[in-house]
Amino acid sequence: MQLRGLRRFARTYAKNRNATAGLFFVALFSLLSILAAAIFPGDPFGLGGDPFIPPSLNNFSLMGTDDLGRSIFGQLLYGGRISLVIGLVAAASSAGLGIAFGLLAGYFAGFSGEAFMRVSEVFQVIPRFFLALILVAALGTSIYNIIFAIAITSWPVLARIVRAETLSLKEKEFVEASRAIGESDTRIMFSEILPNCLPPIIVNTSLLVGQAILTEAGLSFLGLGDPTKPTWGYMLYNAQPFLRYAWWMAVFPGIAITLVVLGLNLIGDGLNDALNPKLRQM
Amino acid sequence: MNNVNEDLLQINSLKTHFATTDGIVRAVDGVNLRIAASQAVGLVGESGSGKSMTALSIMRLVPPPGKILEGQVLLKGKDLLRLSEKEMRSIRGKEISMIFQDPMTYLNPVMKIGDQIAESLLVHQCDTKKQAMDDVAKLLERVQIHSPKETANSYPHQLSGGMRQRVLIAIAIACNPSLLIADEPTTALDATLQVQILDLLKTLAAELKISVLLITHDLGIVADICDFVNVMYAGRILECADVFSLFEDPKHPYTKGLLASALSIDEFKEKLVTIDGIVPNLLELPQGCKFHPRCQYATVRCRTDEPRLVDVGDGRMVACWLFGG
Repeated sequence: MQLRGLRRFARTYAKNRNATAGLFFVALFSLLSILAAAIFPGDPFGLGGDPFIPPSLNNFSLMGTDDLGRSIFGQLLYGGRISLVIGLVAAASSAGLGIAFGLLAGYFAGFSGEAFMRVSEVFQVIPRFFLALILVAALGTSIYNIIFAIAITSWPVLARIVRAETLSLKEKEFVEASRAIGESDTRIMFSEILPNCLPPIIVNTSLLVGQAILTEAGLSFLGLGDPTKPTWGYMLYNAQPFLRYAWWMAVFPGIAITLVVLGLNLIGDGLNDALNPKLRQM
Repeated sequence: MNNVNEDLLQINSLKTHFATTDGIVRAVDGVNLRIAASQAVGLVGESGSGKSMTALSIMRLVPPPGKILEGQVLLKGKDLLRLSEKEMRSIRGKEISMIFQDPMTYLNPVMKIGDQIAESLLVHQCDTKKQAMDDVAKLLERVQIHSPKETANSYPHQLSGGMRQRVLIAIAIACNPSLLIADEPTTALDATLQVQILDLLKTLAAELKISVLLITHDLGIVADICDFVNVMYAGRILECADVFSLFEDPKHPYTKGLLASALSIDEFKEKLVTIDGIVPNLLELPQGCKFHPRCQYATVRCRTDEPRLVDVGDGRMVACWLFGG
């Protein structure tokens, strides 16, 4: 039964050509990052050639080299790892925070629910990027701080979605029925309500991954990235002074970021259509 | 009068009011009710007469802004209204369980049937999921579902209405409750299914020695299942009697009206008999007897004083000035 549902979901999803393309981009870059060590053995920050070699047909300088003679291709592959991991971990942690806050605020509406929401508004009115900027500037530029900064600034959106869903779901008859068999509030929240609001959560989290990658790239671009690890944003930061001599330093990481973030957004849209029961054809 | 200890459930002057912005809605206003062990008791009345709120008050699940103001709900002599929320949770589903009107909306759409039945078992008696799932198969057989394994593995939308109601019944009897509250259990089903579900309820109640509180507006169902009937109107019980005497010889004018308006397959009626007027707005209840504006026997006294429920012999009680109030 479950398999059949999954297959139907896959079919609806595959019908959406944009979403399939998005999945392709994301899968491609994930695969490249996973296989980075096989495709490009050695240290991506290793000095191995002349500076500013333009893109040429060999593994090391496929995408050219930077000002210190390091391979752009190598940095791109390894940078994908960091960027994707930051994106996933930041999105997962902000999803966790958002779900927890949203469920509590929706289920215990009234004073405490309102209080939760006011707290989330405090985070919402601060421009996300600047709060992340300040946090990273204050706490230091390690990838953990970047993840923390992204997660702490992006949970309110999801919290509000989950809260709205919870507010309507908790009035549903099946929730009343589970109270009537003696289920506790915690159990009702997690085993009755949460599974019912998963579709919007999944869609939003996939969008969050893209946003997190962008935020990380933005921070790194301003020099607030982790300088010990290659990330796409850090590569862009490095490329800034040399835009006029070495276009390849900026273009390739730029393309990578664009395709992955676009891909994640297309996936989000595709999931939205495939998981939305109102749009689902029987 | 029955001895207190004989009754499984005894409700004394229960009041559940809703403080709305328009005023206080007295949904349940001084209801007395008793259910003996293994007895099936009907609670009948029109829509809005407070039947469902009485049931929810027993479970202590009255939705806000509703509040149980006073009274006692004694289950085996223990007052449920005095229990803590945690103690009450251990009563719900274990001692008292409930089945509802619309079996679709009362099942979680994203949970498998088996898991939903197991839920109740896991809350109250089973420690492991495996134990619970074993019981689930037995329960599904109990409610006469022919392919218990497949059904346990399906989602609510894959079942028919009748099967869903059977599933709800399975959830309700999962922990061997002593009281089953059935709130309009067959209203959403078609006539042939009604019969099957009612038969199932009757059989199960007899086999498992469960008392049933049946809430309905369908007198036919009451006649079929119940031993004892309470007629409710505007948050009050107007008459209670055993089912035979009530149908033979209704005392309260309202009960008479209800019975006269019921349709029967045996006699042909040129015109439907109805009770004049409408159910009073619970916000603006009339003075005196709440039924007097619709009552053809109403006297001056009915307009000013409200009759109490009095014993009229044979274990029957009526709240009407015609019978002494």
